[in-house]
Amino acid sequence: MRAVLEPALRRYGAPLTVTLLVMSAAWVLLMIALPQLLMVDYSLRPMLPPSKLGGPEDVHTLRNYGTLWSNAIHLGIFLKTVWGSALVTAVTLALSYPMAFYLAQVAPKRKLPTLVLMLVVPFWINEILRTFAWYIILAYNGPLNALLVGLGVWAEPVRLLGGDGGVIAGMVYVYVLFMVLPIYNAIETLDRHQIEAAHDLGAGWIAIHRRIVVPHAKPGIAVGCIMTFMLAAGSYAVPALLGGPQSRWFTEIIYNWFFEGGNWNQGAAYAFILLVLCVGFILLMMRLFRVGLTDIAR
Amino acid sequence: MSTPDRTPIQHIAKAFTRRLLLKGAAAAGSVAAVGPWMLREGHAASGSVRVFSWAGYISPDMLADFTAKTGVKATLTEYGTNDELLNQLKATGGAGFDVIHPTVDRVPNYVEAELVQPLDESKVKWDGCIASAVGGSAGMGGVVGGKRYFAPADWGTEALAYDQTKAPLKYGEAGYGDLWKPEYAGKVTVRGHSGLIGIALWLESQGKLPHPVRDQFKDEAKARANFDAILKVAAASKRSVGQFWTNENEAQGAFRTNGCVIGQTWDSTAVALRKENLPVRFVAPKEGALAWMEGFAIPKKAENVENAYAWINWFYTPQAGALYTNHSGISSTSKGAEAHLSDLNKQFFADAYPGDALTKLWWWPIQEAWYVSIRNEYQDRFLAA
Repeated sequence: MRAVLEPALRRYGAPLTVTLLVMSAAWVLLMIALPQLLMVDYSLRPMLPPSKLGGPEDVHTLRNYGTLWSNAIHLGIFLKTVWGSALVTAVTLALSYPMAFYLAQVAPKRKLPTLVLMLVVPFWINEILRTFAWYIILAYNGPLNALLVGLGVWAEPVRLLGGDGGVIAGMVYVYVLFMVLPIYNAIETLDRHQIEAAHDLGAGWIAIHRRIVVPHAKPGIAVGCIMTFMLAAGSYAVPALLGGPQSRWFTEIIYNWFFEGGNWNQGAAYAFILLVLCVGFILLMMRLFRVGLTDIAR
Repeated sequence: MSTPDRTPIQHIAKAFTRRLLLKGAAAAGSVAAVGPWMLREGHAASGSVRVFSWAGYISPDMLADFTAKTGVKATLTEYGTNDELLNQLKATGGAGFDVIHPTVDRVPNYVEAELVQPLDESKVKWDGCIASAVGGSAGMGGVVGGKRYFAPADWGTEALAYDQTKAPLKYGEAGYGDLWKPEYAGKVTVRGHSGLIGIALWLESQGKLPHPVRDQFKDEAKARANFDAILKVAAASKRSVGQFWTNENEAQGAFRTNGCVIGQTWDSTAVALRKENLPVRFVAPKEGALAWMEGFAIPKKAENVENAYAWINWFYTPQAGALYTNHSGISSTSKGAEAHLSDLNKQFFADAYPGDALTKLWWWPIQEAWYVSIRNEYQDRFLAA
């Protein structure tokens, strides 16, 4: 604490430091801690009509958390969401790493702005609209089916929406930038000479990536994976628009508790379980890649 | 949810209301109280009303007509399902809107959750509404605990929509079972929970349901016994479903872009597609079309209550009712609206309910909160089957 405060006091002076601290604390408390606490409180109470609130039935219970373990359908969807999000993360990583490496080390500097612009332009459009674009492309009467039927690949349109394929393709497209940019940032700081030296000493491309580029890019890869996994696990629009009953996401179950079942307390418990899952995944990734919090904040 | 415009006039109007409330008891009967009261009325007539209604129901023309006739500015927000409306309102404790548009069988949910206020029946011009709708709605959920919360606005059905070139149907022969014929496999669209009721009516007509369908809305054990039998058939037929729908847009999309040729949809879905010259038609099944009634209710914390009544009373004119039906394809309960209907809507109605279809309508029973959660549970199992 002292180590943080002293330089800040020296640099900004007491009034500004206090102001900054108070503002950050207010942000963390009001915008992050309080809503989460409210949700936890909700999740620990049974659903009751207003007339019974504060009555003898209004007690704290873990029943809402138990529901997930006793409901085989929801548990299956929960595990599938974890697996699906991991798959999305892996596919996004496989796609993004070469892109990021090309941008950071191979692409000529004067081409860089154009290339980055091409990556960023789709993100000027809202995520929901981008997902709707995929909905139209993949639709039964959509352009992709029309093209494939026209080329004679299929005799009759195929239902591309409503399965896992559409959902995963949609998510990879929507989240690719969150993977490319952190990895690009990490690889960019790698001195080219290291790669050249390794090359001169006879290392093949695989060895260069495995022993030099990937270890250097680890924090970027970890940040990219964490962001992609969390966005994928918490995504609602993509599975709702591009998926079907067989590819339901856990977020859709949470939405369903709130907006169809009308049981907010149950929904809050499910949402909290998803939050715990995400935090667990982050810790696991950090452990796996042996990165600390300070590496990520760099 | 949109935030309402906070014009200075509204602030003044609100201030008057509060002052009036404070003085209310003390100054009852005093001549001085007449002043603010009159002023408040004056502001109300030129104020605004915030309407929360179904997506695709209220057209910009209707809003303009309402403003032209009453001088009140109406802002519209839309929702896609009854539960979306209920839970949006729950989030604010019944604030944010002046008029809502629930289905009559769900009104007891709002009363239980303390989200709506009883209507002041003396302020509603009931003469403008079909008498049987007003009377009938009382037993369907519109009156709870002796108090009326609901002013009927429209009624419609959920029945069979079909592509007349690829899946022609005929009234009298067509039933809910037609959806699950092998030739339509992969090209059917239904809504999870009401699709189950369609199967229930089909099974009931063959004598294969443990209890009458109506009984499952009253008794939890019977509901579960019936749903177990329904789910068995539904799960076996699920392969047929090309797309599930939950709201109007999705139901239209199933036919328009997703290759479905038959489905159990709302009448409004079929009207909208027919207006686009798609070969989609709509007919009541022989077991009876699922009929619902919707109407207006006033949320507990509505800020412009007088304007909410102005909205209801404007709706109870033949012109407004016809504007509504011509736009949405849903029959309004405004008296005399039928004289102003477009030819397409007249033809649609005649095609949908030939012969004895209107006498066979199957009105949704009241759906209480316990029933909705069982319904949701079985819908989940149907979707996951």
